Amino acid sequence: MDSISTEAILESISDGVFTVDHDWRITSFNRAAEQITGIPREQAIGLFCSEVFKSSMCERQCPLAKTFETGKAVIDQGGFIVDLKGNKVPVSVSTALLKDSNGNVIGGAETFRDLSEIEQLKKLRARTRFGAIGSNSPAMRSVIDMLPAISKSSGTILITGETGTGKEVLARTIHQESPRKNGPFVAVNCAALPEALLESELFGYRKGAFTGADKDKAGRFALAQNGTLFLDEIADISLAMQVKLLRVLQEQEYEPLGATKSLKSNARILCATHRNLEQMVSIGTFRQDLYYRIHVIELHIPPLRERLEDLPLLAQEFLDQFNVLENRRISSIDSAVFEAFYAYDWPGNIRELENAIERAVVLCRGTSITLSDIPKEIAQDTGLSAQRNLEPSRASHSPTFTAQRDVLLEVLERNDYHIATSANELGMHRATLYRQLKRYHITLP
Amino acid sequence: MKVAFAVWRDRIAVLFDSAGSCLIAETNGFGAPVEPLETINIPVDSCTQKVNVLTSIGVRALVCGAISKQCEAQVVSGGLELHAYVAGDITAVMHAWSTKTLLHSEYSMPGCACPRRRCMRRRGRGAGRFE
Repeated sequence: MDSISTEAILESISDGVFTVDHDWRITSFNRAAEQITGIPREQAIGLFCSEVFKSSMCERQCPLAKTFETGKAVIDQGGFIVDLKGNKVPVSVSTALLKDSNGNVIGGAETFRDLSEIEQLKKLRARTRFGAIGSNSPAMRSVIDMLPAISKSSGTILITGETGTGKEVLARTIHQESPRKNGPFVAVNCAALPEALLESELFGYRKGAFTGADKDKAGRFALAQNGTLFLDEIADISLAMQVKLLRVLQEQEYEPLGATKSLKSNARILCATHRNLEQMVSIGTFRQDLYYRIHVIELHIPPLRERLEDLPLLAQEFLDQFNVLENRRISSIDSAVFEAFYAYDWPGNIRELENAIERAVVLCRGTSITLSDIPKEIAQDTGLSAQRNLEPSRASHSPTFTAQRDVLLEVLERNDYHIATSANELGMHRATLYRQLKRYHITLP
Repeated sequence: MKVAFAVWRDRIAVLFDSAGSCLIAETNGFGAPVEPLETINIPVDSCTQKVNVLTSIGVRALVCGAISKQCEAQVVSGGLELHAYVAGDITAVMHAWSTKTLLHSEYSMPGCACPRRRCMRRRGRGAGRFE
């Protein structure tokens, strides 16, 4: 095949292709590569491939370096590149050595595929979605339904929910989908800072305000100007600090430490807590006026044990994410693992699930996550389930048993008792679903 | 103040999200001489932890290559002044900092040649102060 037809083929394919010489400088760059990276060919030629490609693999896991070192091709290594707008573009990369007609290595070739659409399709599996938040759970539907209107407004929102339920993720999503999305999102964990530090962090200080204040420092309110300020663990601030915060919320004004003039704040305030603020108000540890000021709209995120329908979706999203981060190609999660997941109570909620999947991705030796890859305390619940199965009368009284039975019934009902579809939604094999039906004494209509 | 240059070998690291080390330097601000202090390792996979490490040692500004929106938000939230999409040899980039020529196209990543566009990425504490 002559060079002209090779070039025509390279131009016609949808995969990005570039070649480099021994100095890692780009020697050819096809049309798809231009489209995916956003960099014109004439600019790319002659530059270091890493500075054009800007990939998560360049520094430590460069597939081309591996190919140069071993002489072997790398096929479909996963990672992401960052485009000129700062968007992460998931890609899979394959490499090969480039040889001349005498068989001498003259460089390397890399092909890469934009996986954005595939990732997008995976996300669409969620029945209800708003921005980064997807769910198949009726318990989350009321929350997600409110988000479009909430995002457009500039009112203060209180996000409640147990630890690890994703309060900050929800706050970020509201910001990302709001008219303030081009402004900053500034998050402050109020519980992580001592009171004296919290005040200077939030409001900033002027030079000379205290010993060591050798120059002006902008606070988080100033940094969040035209954007969103997320105050996490709002219940953990002192009563004195609550008064100061109330003033900002009421007057949209604050004074940096040592300042003589007030500054205006137009940051949108989102607050979150895992505590029961109403109860705290009743015992006098949280100011009632501040409570009413931040409690304009409350979004309560249910704990994971109350939205078990989301387990397959969340587990798959974390699996995809950690496959990219850990450079693994684990394709699935065993149905036995899901059994354990459904049986478990998830006191740490989504964060605990995320950690469990991360651990599993690191430890997994094959292409599917098995029981041995997940934390012992989660895997052990399968054993308990099996034991319960031997004692149906005792097991039928356990809350976990009832919760799992309810989930199964709900999924079955939603899918008109179609076994294959229900099994697919639950992330298990049909045979496993049949076993579960038997275990939970569910009879098909 | 301290400024961190995300580095890989002898150049600015191409992607801060996956960068593993930073050269920490002392300076009196943009346009002032830069005195390299040490090169430190930073967590590879977590932007939050990267920012925590940098702020805990008193870093006030970050010079890096490409950066994702998510990571940029973390850097800005941490109160760091961000100079992103910078490319080039680390010695040359430090010199460009001290001579206020960092916005010249020769220090821009490919596709980011317009200095004005890069200005838009300079966010956080002190943004716009050096324009």
